[in-house]
Amino acid sequence: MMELLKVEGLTVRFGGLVAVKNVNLSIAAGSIQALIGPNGAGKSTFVNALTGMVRSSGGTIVLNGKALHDQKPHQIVAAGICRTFQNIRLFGGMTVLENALVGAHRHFKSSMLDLVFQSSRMKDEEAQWIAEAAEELEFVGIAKYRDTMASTLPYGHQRRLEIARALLSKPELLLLDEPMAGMNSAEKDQLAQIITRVRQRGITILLIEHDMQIIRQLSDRVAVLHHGETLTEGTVNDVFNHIAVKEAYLGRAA
Amino acid sequence: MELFGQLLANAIMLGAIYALTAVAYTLVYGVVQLVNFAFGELFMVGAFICVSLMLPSVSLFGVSVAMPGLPLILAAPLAILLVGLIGVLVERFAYRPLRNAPRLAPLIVAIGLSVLLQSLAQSIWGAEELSFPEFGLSKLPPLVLFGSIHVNVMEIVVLAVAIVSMVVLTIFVKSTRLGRAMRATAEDPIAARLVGISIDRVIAAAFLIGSLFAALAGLLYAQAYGFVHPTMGFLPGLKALTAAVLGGIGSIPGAAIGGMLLALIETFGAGYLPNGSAYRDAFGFGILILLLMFRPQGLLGRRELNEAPAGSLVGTGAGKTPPQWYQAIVRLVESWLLRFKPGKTVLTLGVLFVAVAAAFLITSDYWLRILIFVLTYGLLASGLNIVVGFTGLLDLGFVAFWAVGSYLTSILFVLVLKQTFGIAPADVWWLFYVNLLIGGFLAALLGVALGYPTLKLRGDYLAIMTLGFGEIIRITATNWIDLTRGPMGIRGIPSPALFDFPLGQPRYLYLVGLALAVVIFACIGRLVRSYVGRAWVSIRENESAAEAMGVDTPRYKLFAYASGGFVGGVVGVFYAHSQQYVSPLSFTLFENILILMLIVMGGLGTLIGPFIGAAFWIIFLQVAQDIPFIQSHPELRFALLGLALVCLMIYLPQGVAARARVKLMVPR
Amino acid sequence: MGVKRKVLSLMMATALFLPGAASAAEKITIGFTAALSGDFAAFGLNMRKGADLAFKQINAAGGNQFEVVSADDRGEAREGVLIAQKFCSDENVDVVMGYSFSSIALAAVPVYDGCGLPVIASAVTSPDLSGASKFFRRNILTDAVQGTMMGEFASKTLNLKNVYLIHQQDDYGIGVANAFSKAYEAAGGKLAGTEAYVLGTKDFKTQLAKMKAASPDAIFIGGFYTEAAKIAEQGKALGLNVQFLGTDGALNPELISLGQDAVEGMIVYGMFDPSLATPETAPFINGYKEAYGEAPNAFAALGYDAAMAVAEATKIAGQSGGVTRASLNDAFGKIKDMPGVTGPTTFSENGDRSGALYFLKVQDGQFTLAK
Repeated sequence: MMELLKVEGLTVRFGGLVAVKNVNLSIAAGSIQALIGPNGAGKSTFVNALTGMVRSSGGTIVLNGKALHDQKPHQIVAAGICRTFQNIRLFGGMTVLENALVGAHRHFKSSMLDLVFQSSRMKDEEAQWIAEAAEELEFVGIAKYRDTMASTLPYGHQRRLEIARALLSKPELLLLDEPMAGMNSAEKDQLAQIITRVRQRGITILLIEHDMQIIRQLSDRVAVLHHGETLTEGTVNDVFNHIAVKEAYLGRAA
Repeated sequence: MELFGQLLANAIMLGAIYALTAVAYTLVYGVVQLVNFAFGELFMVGAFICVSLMLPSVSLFGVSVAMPGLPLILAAPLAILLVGLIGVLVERFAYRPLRNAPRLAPLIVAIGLSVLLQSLAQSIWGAEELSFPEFGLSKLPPLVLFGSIHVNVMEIVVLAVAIVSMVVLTIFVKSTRLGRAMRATAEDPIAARLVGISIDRVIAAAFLIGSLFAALAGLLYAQAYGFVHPTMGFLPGLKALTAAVLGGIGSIPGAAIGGMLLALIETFGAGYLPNGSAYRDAFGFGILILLLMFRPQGLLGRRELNEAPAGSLVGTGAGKTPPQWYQAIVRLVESWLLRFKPGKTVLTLGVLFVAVAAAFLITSDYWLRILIFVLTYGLLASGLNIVVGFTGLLDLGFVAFWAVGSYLTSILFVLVLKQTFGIAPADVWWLFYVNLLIGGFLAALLGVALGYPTLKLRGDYLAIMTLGFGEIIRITATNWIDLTRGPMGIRGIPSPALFDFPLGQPRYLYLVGLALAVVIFACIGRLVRSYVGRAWVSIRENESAAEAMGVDTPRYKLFAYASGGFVGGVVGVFYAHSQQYVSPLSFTLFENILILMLIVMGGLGTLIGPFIGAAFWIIFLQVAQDIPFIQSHPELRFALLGLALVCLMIYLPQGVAARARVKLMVPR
Repeated sequence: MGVKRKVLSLMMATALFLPGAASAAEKITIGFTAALSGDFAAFGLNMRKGADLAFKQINAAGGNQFEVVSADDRGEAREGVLIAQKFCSDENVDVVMGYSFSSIALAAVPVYDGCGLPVIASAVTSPDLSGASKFFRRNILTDAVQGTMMGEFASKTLNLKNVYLIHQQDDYGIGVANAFSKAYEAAGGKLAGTEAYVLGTKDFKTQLAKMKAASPDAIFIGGFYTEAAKIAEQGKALGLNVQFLGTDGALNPELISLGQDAVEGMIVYGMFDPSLATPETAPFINGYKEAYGEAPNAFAALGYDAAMAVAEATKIAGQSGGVTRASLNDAFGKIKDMPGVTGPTTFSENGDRSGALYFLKVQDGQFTLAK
């Protein structure tokens, strides 16, 4: 299988604290890679480092042969990585459709003059992406809310909107940071289906999740972070049988 | 050495007063993240009450009233307590209803309260300064240290009082239940509520203590400089705010250090630099800007406090329900507008037609001039709205762009072409139109230059830094006499003309302004209804999410500053030619706050809001001139205005035109 | 207002039919504008008190009747322009008085030019206003004249050799300071240094410490009474015991009540002497005390005299036909040596006024003639 992302020796320091220490991870194209670990293990910091939102103190991140570790967030999005947030970060004062269109930001090429004079190029571009955004909203099942303010959307739908918004950047790698947090099992099932369908479109996924059921159901491989370090990495079955994982999660007694 | 010693002694005294006032700002900010501008006025009220209590009789509302003539030691605590009470009442009735409103609404309420208190003080105590009564300690001869440094006994008292009260406050915050609750609320209001802390009580306590400190500082200041006056609080208030930010807002020791530091910088800058006194106010701001560039959280501030909550400026929370009549009007207008919805262009053309027709239907030059100002201020506010309303960057230095445009064209036409080369303005009438563009681009460039160092800052720090920039530019325009003729201003700027046809009459000026407004309005509208507008609003709503979605946030912020600056510059050029005179008087900090208020009143992040705000403000002030009791009590005009602002914000924190939200896409 | 206009035209009509109608009573409306609220409201309010007193006395004497409508410009250029236009567009307004800031007057002048409304300002001294418009006049001396006289006085009469100059950073302060230093140095004096401050400054200790280090024998304050009192007071507290000199801006009873002991001995100049009621000034000084319970200051005196000039011009205009804006404007040009509390008034071609200055010294808490 072709390797899409390769992370080597990634380290993130905040002052004296080492949040992520020397992590290696490689993700195959088209796969779903899970990342698990107890709270405070450094999962979110890892995602933030991947997307350029915190500066890494060492190591390399390579996507499709392109080095990303010193790139700015927007450059990383342009390279093909996009994410959702553990604590939902929508643009509350914008409509659902407008939120989705921000995801498509990087595709807009019209110049200022195009905008001011409303050139046909600008109009075509706008129409094209409105159409694509509508499709993605349909894809995640919230099309009928397109003109609703994002802040008034029901919680579960907000999560879906985050996914649609990220998809509109046309990423090769989608980072889902605890997308099921706070959902009931019916909602989780629906979201799991959406994730499966995203994968079917050929998009690689890095999934951070606490629900082991979901992990088993969706992912190809699992990496475990503990105290900022990789505890283990392997297929789902391998990892779940690993003794250290049980200890990390359940304490030594297990 | 003698000069050094004396300057040091002066600076320490001034620093003590700054520090005390800074405590007020820092305490309230720590708990509710509100810059309560009204502390400057509570400072003044404290001084006035204290002086009134000390005198045998005071003229109140022009009538002589007998007063107890208390000694300072009794009058001061009484005055401080009264002001504390006022502070608590203000919090209860003006701020509490806005607890969940957009963050700019309470800020505007604070400004409204300032204006109200200042005007009322003039009504009550008159426009002349009152001198601070002499008393035992103040009559003692000054101590002479090291043979030449003069220090008054009272100055030592001031310093001692400042130190003691700061220490008491620190102990209070560290070791009482209420104090600990205040700290907890400052760190995490939600968690504090969860553990059972009454937020209302904590906030009321912060306002109470803040007001006590402001009043204490005010009467010490009045004593030190020997006078009281209704507007005495404005500048010290601003300085104290600067000091609080310098020290790291939210930190009490920070306020003390910031106050001292600011006083030292000002005093020594003014004392040792050539022409330093004239630039005195600029030094503090200069240092502040440098500091914030390298240490955005201030000296002792913590980094977390510098994170503005998401959607900080334009939240969806509302204040009280608007009154019935307002809702009825809105419903009526909306239902009427809905009829036009199929052809939105019809509506636009209709409005345009009415605006053009107004030029010919209105025969009064006075009303045409009013409309010119509505257009001018509406445009300025539209420019600022790009930065504040759409991008969510609180900018208090916007007048700088306006000034750049005005001065560019004035210097070029009058000082260079006319006076140096003897070229008559009428021969180069076309230059006005060229200057509109040059002024715009120059201001845009300045926007980028000023915006660049602010990129790392968020929220209120950004506001203070931009305020500093604006003030530095104004102070420079006032004092760089060779370039700008300083306070004398530049006169004889020609009216706009088209070939041989002069456009100086109000009717034509209005039409020129209208043409400008149409073009700018359309350009802003088209930028906003595109990926650019969506990028701006996404930064406002959640900067880190915008970043994560591939928006190059620094670039779009700079672009917002540049676009806003461009509009400011263009309007500046028009303004200079329509007034035919420019002076630094037009570009004060209050003008800046005013422009911000226009947007908030009208509706942040709407296209029409700035114009509605401008119309309200300018027409209100003019119509109020004719009210009979305003004729005899002119200062009450602004008291009315302040009151109107406060009520407007409490009932309509989203602005009058909140429903006119712009669609961020091409309308289909 | 419509009714008033009718009355006015009715009066005009009767005037045409009655013999000797030239002396028929006119109703004149004066637009008064100045900063009446905000930071510097006191100057404008004093001017208005002076003007109100004058019109009350004139109206009581019968004949032409005067009514004042006032508008507060709050020291903002924007308001200044709108108020000018308001008066222009209000046909009832025949003449405008007031103005506390040159900048605002300068911003308003183009508007008055457009409608031919005469202005008689009282407290604006910028040289830029000389000849700025044929409709604009002022009854205060320009900075240049004032500064020159003080400069010569300081050097020749007071024999001061080493004066430190501190002035307000605006048209008034800069104008006075420039004229002063030129005249003073020409007369053989030596300037110890120059400092500037913004109107409204409270803290002069830094500048005073600097001045003290230069050990001058006098300090000339080119500014208003509020700041002059603070400079003297804070200077005394720093042990700076020198002769203080001030301008007409400091000729104000408030200077003494604010500065108290510290201003004792200060020498200022001005066009009128508030302590001495001469036959010309008695109705003003006594009337003012009676009406407002306080002693008048220079701003009030100028407002009073401006009102007198308006009354005089109305009389002149009435004698040669109807009173219109244009005829009033011409009439102002014809006023010759009209006696007033600030001395005789004549307006030159470019709208300025020439006159004599008194030098006054603060002695025992009173202004007394210095020479």
